[in-house]
Amino acid sequence: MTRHIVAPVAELPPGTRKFLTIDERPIAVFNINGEFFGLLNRCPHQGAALCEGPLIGLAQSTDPGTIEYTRLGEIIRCPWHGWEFDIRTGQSYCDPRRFRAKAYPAHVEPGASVVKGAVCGRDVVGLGRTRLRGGGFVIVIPGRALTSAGGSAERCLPTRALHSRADAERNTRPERTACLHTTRHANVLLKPLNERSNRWQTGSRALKDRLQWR
Amino acid sequence: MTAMIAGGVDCDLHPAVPHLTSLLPYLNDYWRDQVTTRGMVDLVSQSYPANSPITSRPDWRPSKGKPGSSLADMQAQVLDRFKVSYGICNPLYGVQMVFSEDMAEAFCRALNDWLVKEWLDKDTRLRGSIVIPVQSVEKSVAEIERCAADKRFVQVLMLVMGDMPLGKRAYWPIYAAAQKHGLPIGVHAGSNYHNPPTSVGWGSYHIEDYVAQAAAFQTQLTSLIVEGVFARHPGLKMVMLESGFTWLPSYLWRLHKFWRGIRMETPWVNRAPLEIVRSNIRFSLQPVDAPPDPETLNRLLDHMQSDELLLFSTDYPHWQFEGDAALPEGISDDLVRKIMIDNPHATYPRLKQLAPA
Amino acid sequence: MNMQFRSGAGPGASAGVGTAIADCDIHPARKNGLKDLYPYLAKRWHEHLEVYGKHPYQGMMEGPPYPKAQPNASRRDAYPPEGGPQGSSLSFMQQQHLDPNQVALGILCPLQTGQGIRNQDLSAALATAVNDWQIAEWTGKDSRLKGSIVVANEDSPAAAAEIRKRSGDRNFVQVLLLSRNVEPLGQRRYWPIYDAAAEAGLPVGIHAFGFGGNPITASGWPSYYIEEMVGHSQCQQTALASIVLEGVFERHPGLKMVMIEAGFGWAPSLSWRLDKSWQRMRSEVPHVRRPPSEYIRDHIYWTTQPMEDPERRDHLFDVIDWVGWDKLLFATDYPHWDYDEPSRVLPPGVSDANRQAFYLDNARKLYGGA
Repeated sequence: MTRHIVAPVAELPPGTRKFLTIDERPIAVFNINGEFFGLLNRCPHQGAALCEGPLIGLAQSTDPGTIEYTRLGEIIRCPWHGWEFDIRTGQSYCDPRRFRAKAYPAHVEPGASVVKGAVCGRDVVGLGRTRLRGGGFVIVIPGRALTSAGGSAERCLPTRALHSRADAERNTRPERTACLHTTRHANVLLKPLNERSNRWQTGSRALKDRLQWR
Repeated sequence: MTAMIAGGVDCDLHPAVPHLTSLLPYLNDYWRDQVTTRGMVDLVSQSYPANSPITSRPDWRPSKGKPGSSLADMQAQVLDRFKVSYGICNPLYGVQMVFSEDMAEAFCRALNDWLVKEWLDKDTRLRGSIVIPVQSVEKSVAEIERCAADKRFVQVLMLVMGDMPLGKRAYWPIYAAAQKHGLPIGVHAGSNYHNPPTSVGWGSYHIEDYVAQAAAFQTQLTSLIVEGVFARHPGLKMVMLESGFTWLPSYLWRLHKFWRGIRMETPWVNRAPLEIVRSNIRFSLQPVDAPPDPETLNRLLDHMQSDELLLFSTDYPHWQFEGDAALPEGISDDLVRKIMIDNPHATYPRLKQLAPA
Repeated sequence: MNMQFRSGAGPGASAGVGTAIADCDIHPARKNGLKDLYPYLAKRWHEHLEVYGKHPYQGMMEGPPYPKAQPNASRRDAYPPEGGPQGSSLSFMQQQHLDPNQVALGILCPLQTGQGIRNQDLSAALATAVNDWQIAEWTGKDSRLKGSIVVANEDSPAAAAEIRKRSGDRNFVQVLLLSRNVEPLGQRRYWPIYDAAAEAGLPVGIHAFGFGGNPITASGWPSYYIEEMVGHSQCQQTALASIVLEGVFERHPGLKMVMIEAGFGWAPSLSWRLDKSWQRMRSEVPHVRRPPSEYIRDHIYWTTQPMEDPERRDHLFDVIDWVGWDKLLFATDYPHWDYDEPSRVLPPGVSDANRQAFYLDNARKLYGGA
């Protein structure tokens, strides 16, 4: 399997994503809590730019009125019809059997083991290209900043920055607090966050307290 | 004409209360006097004006009295003629229209007692639906508990158009009680007229109201599904009575399409709406709002993707078909058997608990 | 099943269907809310709006009673780069939608206007302002676009006057109403609107939404947005039944109507139910001289979005056969979130003639060629 280098880890902090093109395939790489995941930037439903959608959590319920909201930041909503996809696996939540976003595994490798000069990547405006040889591929992220050039001109768009463009135009708040706003006012009982989500919430005690509603 | 088979279950019969005064023996002293001293009149719903063509097939209309008020007529015209083994009585007396919950409770008790004495006791094939005073959820639950002991009650009856959508959680104690006793909820065409009888206001005509029943069933089905009634009550079945069913496939396509995008709004809906319908919803056969050609209807039945959804009914004495053509043209023998026998028994487990004599 | 990857097109970029299409439901938005209408509104209304607002037939001063699925009920990638809400920039609409999809005829259906509000003078003022705005900012700048005459839906003499004012103006190709009003749309209070539309030779488009003070189901107010969205189908069924049973088409044998954004899959079953009920109860409505399905067949068109989406395409083709390939008008609902991507709505197996009718020719015949 061909490895493709995406970016130095420092350029893709947790909660951000980076857009690239590999062999004409538009792909986004996400950093979720220090783990990396790649998704084809095309919704399997009608072809929208899936990876430009907002990140939310997973709403589940086994009893109407009680919502378990976990995995904050790990679910992406398609910018068109709002279908929810699991960034880790590409699985859809509305029809997991029939619809799945194409997922690409990604991991970190120490910088020294990486071939220099093969960085590709873009922000939402620019495009970078590289040739893909053979079938499926692995996206590899070096563990140390590369000494070669190329990476500095490209920016990762943090999740919030993507929204800030939209935020300026609309009167709703950024996605995370908008979700909380809705659930709180709906008087919904939220179960305590699971451990994975707790990690996400570290440092934000007020946020966590608000979620322990009722 | 598709022939019926013997031993079927007629899931929608309408025995008629001759007049409000017929319920007097079943009311307590206070209510008996309220009826008489205040000059209360018959509770006839606009949904079925007595002389409307839909209310009675011409050859079923008696020379005197309300259509459906004579047991002998029902026996001759439907029970004996169509050789059914069971007939489920859904009284459509207008008790849901009154506003006082106490009055509604009194009338519902009387109506249920009247059904037992004047109908269920007199023909062992007959079964009944418990009419509940939906004006009060608490009183409805009490009435279910009271009547459920009589195994001849096989269903709880509600109207498709009431004060609020049927999926609302306020109603759920009714559903819990029904599920507990193995009683499906029958949702029947008709309105209490506390809201306009269409989703776009008050129309002019009776025919307009009748056509709009189908749309009311659609919005109620949405409510029942997305509110998660069947997530909380997985064993509960609901039967759409006199609803029509040919609207079902395209309705489900639309619901499914939106559900996929707004799943997070109602995350307890964790199965596709079609699956929920398959497991928990049924439809009585009449009216079959279909085109005259059997080929189109068979295509439509294919769209429904299940042969377990339809339950045989005549909707007696309402005028839905001519002569003995209660079954649509051109359906297979297998489907006839499912519609007339298998599906009803799978839906109403209490039917067989007391075999007819 | 998953969409096959297509090389060449950027993610989310429309690639069209290879031929010119019509889009019979486009929603232009205003960059600065009601302020953009001030140039077309008498000054007294500027302050009135700022002090009293629109005063609609529902409780919220801002926003809809049922929160939408996406901000502004629109695609998140449809924000114009220069700012403003989705659908507010003609140039971006051209770039993102009209040009790549080869839209040869785009029908504007402005929402959030003065329809469904309780102050009738304001409703009429906003209607005429929106119509002026459509010409100034849209149809006057891109000849592919055609406007709908927005009218004060609850004040039909004022509405008729607005239609007469715009009659003959080729910027407009239909009159626009919404499906939820104070009364069902067949009622007499709305007849002057149909009289004027028929006189002007214009079809009447009936778009989902609106508020008339009635609960949006016949059994009260539901809880969720999904119930409202699915419920547009039921609202239009009952609105259409009212129109037919009140004899609007007997009164206007040449009038055409377009059911917009409520689907079309329900048309056959509604037609069959209407016919059956009419056979029984036609004595109540002697003015309905023909089976209702014939009026529907002769007078009604259907926009396609949100496209019926059964798992099996033969089921879809059955329904379209029953409705008529000649009755469907392709629409995307751009820029709304439930947008139908043109190249994704028709499964394979459609004849060239039907495809052409579906995507363009039916609209051209109804609205006039672009």
